[in-house]
Amino acid sequence: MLWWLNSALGTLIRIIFMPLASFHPWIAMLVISLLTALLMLFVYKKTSDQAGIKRARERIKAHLLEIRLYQNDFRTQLNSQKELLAANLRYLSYNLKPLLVMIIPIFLLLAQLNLWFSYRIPAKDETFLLKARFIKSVDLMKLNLEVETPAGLQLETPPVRIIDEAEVSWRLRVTGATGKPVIITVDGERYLKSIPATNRSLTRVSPVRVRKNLWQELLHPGEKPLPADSLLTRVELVLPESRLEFAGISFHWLVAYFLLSIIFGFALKGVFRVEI
Amino acid sequence: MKVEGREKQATRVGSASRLRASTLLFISLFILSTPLLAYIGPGAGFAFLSSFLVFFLTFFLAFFSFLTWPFRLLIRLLKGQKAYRKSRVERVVILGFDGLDPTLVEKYMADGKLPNFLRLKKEGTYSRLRTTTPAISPVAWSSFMTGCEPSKHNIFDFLSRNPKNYLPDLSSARIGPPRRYFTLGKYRIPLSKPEIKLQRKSQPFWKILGQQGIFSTVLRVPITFPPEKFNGHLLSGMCLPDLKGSQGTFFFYTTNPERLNKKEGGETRLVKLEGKTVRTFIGGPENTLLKNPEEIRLPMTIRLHPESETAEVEVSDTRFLLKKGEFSPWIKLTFKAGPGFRIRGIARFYLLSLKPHFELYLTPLNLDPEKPALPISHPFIYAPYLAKLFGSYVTLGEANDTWALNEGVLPEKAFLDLAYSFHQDWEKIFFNGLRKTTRGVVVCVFETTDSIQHMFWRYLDRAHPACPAPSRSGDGDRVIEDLYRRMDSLVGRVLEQLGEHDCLIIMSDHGFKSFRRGVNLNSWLYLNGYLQLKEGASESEEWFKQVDWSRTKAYALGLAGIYLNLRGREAQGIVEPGEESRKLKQELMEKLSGLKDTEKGTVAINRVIDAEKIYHGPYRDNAPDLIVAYNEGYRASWDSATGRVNRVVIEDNRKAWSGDHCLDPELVPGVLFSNLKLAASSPRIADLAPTVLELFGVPVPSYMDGRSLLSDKSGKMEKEESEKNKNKKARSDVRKKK
Repeated sequence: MLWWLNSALGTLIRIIFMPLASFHPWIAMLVISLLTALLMLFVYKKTSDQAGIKRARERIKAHLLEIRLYQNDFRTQLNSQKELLAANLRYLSYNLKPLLVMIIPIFLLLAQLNLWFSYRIPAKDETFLLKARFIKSVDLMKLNLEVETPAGLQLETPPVRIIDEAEVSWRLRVTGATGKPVIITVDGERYLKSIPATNRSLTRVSPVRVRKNLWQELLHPGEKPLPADSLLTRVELVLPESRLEFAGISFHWLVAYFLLSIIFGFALKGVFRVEI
Repeated sequence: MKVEGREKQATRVGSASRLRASTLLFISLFILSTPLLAYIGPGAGFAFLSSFLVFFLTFFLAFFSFLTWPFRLLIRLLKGQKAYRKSRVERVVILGFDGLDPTLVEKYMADGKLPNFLRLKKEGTYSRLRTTTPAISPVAWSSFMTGCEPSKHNIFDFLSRNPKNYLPDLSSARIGPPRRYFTLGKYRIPLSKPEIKLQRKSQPFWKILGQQGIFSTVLRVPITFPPEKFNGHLLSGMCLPDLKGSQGTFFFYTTNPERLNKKEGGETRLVKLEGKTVRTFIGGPENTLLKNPEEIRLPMTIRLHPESETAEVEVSDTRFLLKKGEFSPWIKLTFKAGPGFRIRGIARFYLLSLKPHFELYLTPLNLDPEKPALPISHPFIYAPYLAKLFGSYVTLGEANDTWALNEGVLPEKAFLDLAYSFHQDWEKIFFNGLRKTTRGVVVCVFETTDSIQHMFWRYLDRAHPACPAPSRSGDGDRVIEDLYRRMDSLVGRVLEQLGEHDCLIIMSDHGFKSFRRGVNLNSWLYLNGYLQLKEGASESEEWFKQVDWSRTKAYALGLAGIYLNLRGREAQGIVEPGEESRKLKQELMEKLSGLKDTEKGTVAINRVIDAEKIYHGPYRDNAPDLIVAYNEGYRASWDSATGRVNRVVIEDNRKAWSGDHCLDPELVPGVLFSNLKLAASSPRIADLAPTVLELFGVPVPSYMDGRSLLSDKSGKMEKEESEKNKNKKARSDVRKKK
């Protein structure tokens, strides 16, 4: 069920980003921030007590002015501060309902955006690790493990088994264009791990494939989950982090998304008459 | 090959664990949130961000104010402020009920209808309070706050006359255009602020207290626009204009041409019904940004729903439903004067009728207290602060729309609903000030008492020409009694909030009497040869349009008195100052004093007072030369006040405005109550300022005419004493030098 939801949302994001794939990732970030702002403003307007929020905000402003107005009267000022905090709590309470309504879609969206903005695809001759984690009860030393790499990737090392963590790692080197999955065979059973294509500036990268588990699927929606009774719990590509650059400053994509969507939300709230 | 063979079993995940996981999801998101999970969208994100900011700011402000407290204290000490050191009280609370009448108060107290007033009378003080000459609110309240007679504070009436052109000016404030502009296309951009000048002179007592570091909250006291700087908060009252610059212009929209006659104090607009829609506009302020100023118009669309007795109004980007017979809340109206220039107002709508004719009433355009176009409070943020705390409130000086009732636009019930809703707003503002002023003075004037008595006095006076027949009087008989009971209840609530060391003073600026007959002084002056009309004219429209000034010796303007057309003072003066003017005054006083209403057989004018005899201050020349003290039942007629001249001297007053106080001051004293025992033998309104100063141990300035009611000392006596002390000190200095 969750996979279908993730898959549908993933397709939607893909469609939105399709015309932007050859542009700088900032463009995609601007577009998705704007769309998020519009969607969230709509949800916020529909699900919140707009009159209550306005009242609470006005009261907060009033008490702030009150502190300025009665600056020479300790007793009044303390009361104003108490009332200001109470008004602020009231304001926060008005935000709980829209927060609860928004939290699921935003969470799903963030997990999807993480696939597009979080990781950089290694360039030719760069190496990265492929990690396979197993259930704790498995005896790693007895497992029969094989890795098949597609064209453009070369296996550089034999498997390194870390018994305590039930994990096996390989190092891979990029030798050319790729896009086909790596196949890991465990005691004869084959598991695929997708490898992203390398020829576009905006590419969806799924670094982790997890076993069927609600929480893990929410966090890693990039690929169909591994079966629930699989020996493998997770297959991961340890890829370099991607950051957005602006005026010589590099941003984590989430910071950029947070700031931009807030700026858009704030700029457009008047147009759509939303009290925030 | 079994590629992903086990993946097919994926659907066999237990439904129970899924449910558990879903339930735990919300909690996990809150508790285990990583930076990635913490974000919850721009709406709530912004809300949380600003909440954090508020928390931060609160603590910062608290910290800052505690940190700076010793420095502020030090500054106060360096300034020589010795606030409260000699103070006999913690707080002085003054409740001003404009026009509360002693005769009615005494009657209702005797009937046991005003228990709280009665309690004050028994435990503290009650007395009649002598008012000013003339007994008009702006004059009396100015004397209340300054402790001076009118010629020292320069307010003699609502209107003053401009001797250069004989036209009326607002006596309390002058609003002039900015001095410098630059022109840009069709616009004239001001480079300086418009000149807003308070015409009232002398100092209110709260300013004197403030100089000693004593804090005051002053609410809706008349003649406080524009607000002056002092140590405290002030919200301006009577004489604060509306957005059009008038003292309150209401709007009346109708599809009935028969109701199109001129409405005093309002604008009437004939509108056309297109199907069920009315398209019209609200005429706002004049756009002074234009080289050729014109009225800014705000389009308004009204869709009628006669079946549900409602109308949908669309104006200034706001849409709201209006139910017949109910007032809308305050609606914000934005008038665009030019790019980036907006004038903000507020108004309330009232749907009078849908069938057979559409009729809509709109209150005068009040300045929006949240973003006032003019300074209406001190400090400036005080008015916006109150608006944020309580929502929009009425700002117009003369808030209650007596003209709309007088002109038959607003029904009595609607007038009362509106007046009491304004009163409730003022009560909220007052109690907020009372709670937050822990030491110092709180003064609030309620005009509700004045407006309602003006309009409903006819129900108390069966002989009044506008008194409805008993069968049609409805609840009108009880309106004034209900008003007094409401004020008594307010007094009770104030008493509950007072501390042991708080002093409460309740007072009114004047009382009330019936206004049955109006005297047109200008007509009398014309018929007796003192005022001449231009060749061929037998009467004059308002503001003396047909008066021949070159032959006119005297004229009357406003409610207070008569001016001589004095050479050197008036633009076309013909009466020589000195002997001729004295003789003329004497002649007029003799002829007018005891003037008889031949139709009724009673005296209309008790006496005429020579201003020179009663005024001794520096602004005496601005006063009317003669002040007319009317007998009970009489007042200056509506025509006389606005400079109309005709052949009728005394006529019936058939308007709803049926009670008044602009008559002989001896007949309309106010009331004085206090929880303190005051030495109240014949107190005057000017005595209150020195009394408050003395309660705080602040010396009474020598120029004040009032005397403290706490002792027998008067301002004058103090002056003499201080003069004596000064002379004594000078003599001793001379001796020392020798």
